[in-house]
Amino acid sequence: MKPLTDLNTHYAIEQFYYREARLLDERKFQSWMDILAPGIEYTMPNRSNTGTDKTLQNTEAMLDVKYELSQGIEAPLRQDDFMTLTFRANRPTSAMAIAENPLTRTVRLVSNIEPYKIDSVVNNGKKHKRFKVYNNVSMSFSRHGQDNHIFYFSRHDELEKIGGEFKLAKREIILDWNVITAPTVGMLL
Amino acid sequence: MQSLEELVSDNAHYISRRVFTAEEIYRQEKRYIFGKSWLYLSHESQVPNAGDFITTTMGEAPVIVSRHTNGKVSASLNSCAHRGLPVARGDRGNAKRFVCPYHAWSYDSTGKLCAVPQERKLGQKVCREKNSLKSVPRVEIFCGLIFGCMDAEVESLENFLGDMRFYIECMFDRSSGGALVVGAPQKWMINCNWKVPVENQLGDVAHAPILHGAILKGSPQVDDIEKYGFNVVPKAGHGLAVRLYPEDAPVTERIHGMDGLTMYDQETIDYMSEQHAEVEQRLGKLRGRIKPLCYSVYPNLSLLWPNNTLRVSHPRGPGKTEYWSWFVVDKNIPDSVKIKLQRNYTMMFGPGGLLEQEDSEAWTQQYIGNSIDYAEDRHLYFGLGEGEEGNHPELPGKVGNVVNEFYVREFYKRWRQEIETGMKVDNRTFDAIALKNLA
Repeated sequence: MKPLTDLNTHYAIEQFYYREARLLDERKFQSWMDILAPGIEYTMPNRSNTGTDKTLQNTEAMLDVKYELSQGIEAPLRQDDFMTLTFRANRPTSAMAIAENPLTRTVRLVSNIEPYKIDSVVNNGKKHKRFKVYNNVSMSFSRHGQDNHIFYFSRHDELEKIGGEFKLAKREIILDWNVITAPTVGMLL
Repeated sequence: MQSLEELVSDNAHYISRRVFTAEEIYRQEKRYIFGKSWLYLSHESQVPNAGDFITTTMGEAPVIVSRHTNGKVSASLNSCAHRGLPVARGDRGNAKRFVCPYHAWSYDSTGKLCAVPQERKLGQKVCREKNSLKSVPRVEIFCGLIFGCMDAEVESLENFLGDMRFYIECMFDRSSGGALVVGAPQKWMINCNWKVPVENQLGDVAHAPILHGAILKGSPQVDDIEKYGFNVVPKAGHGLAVRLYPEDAPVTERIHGMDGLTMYDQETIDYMSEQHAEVEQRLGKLRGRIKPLCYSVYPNLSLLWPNNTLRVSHPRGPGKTEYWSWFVVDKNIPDSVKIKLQRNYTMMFGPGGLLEQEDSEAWTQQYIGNSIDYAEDRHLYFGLGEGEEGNHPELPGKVGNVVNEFYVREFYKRWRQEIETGMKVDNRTFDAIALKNLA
């Protein structure tokens, strides 16, 4: 993983994130689907309190977030691919989706955008550049009445350059919560 | 007020909104329901080895469930005898001793007090018996499901479950490897009364194509439920919905859930079809035709079979529920198939599930509706299908059609009777006025 030195690319990646946040806040979920790579892997691990491994005492390794995250066959909070994200993107457009009636309002602030260059991938005989991008999001989530929530989460993304445009190829969303105190984490994040 | 008729009418057609919202009722529920009933604690597969433990709650009381070196599972209140701190921290782990972080009093996996470090500098010894963790006096296991009860005099777990065992085996005794309850639970807080999620899984199939219309409208599974579905009350308080397929139905219709919208690949279908022979061999031909939907075991355990999940509705106040949900799967299934089933679960259910978000919304709105003023004379109506249930030639228990609400009437009759009996024994009465919203 190499730090990105090209400021133009850095700028373009930042713009990708701001535009993505705006699409989601404006509820243009189907337009958002256009920025996904067809093979997208989209996950949100469950976070539990596992206790620490005492054999790792006095090392940073003991504090590694990975020990708190669901893995293998343990159920994550979300495990989506292009098809299930399509369901999620289309659902609010159904008049029968009562959790979206009244509609959900959101404002996302994307920050701490930290891109790295990683190995390219080959798809259909073509080489595509890939970037790993750490970023954080704070999101105001508001529903009817006084049902207001603030979400904070980290995202570990991979962007792929396809046809001159960035596409989201991988996203891991890491929440702080053990008990989810918002009504759902099923929205597009 | 001695009789609770004002809260739950004798035939349970009408139930007061206060049953879901009043602090006073909630206190009595903790005393006479959560303090007296068998409660689901954990599954054996979560504590397979000596020293393994998980933490949970009985009502709101924190509990440790652990396996001792002698192989036995026991449960104790997770609170140190010295100053009351929890001695097991975290959701699960393995520990020889539970050590209180405050003064290092330590307990073995049965909760027995083992060491008090301060004793070394003092002449006096602390009484081990009096100062062990309070143990849950009754712990019994059925099909790997570990239940505990705070009342030492409670009936056996076997009696308590009654014919519910016949249906539980359809999920937990399907293969020689038994079931695996996987990992730490997903947990989320819902602003609703704890009974509402239980009611939903007791057999409320009727809501599915309506509340979940955005996803389920036009789904062939909805027609299947109309055609083959039944609601069953094996014993008052417990309830479930199943489909009973005709004897000539192809195996691919009868296997497992297949009710999610996630497409199963051929490997999964083949595996489940092949495994169905073992199900029939273990459980018999009849149960090879039963395809479970949703179950609730009184008072707060639920199972949703098509999506491989076990959930517990933990009360956290009249209007707060911590819903805990696990992925459950047959242990013997290869990991590649387990993953498919796990995706079928998380896509639809859990805090990120497409269907579950509608349920949480409905339950939250129900709590708001049950808290409003001027509705004391507008009890909720639970009378649909009265008397239309009866015996069935094949299915044990009382059986009715899937929109007959007898399953929930039986739940509330039992609920009322348990609170009434408890209060009578303790010579307590409800203050009828205090129960009114505008008292």
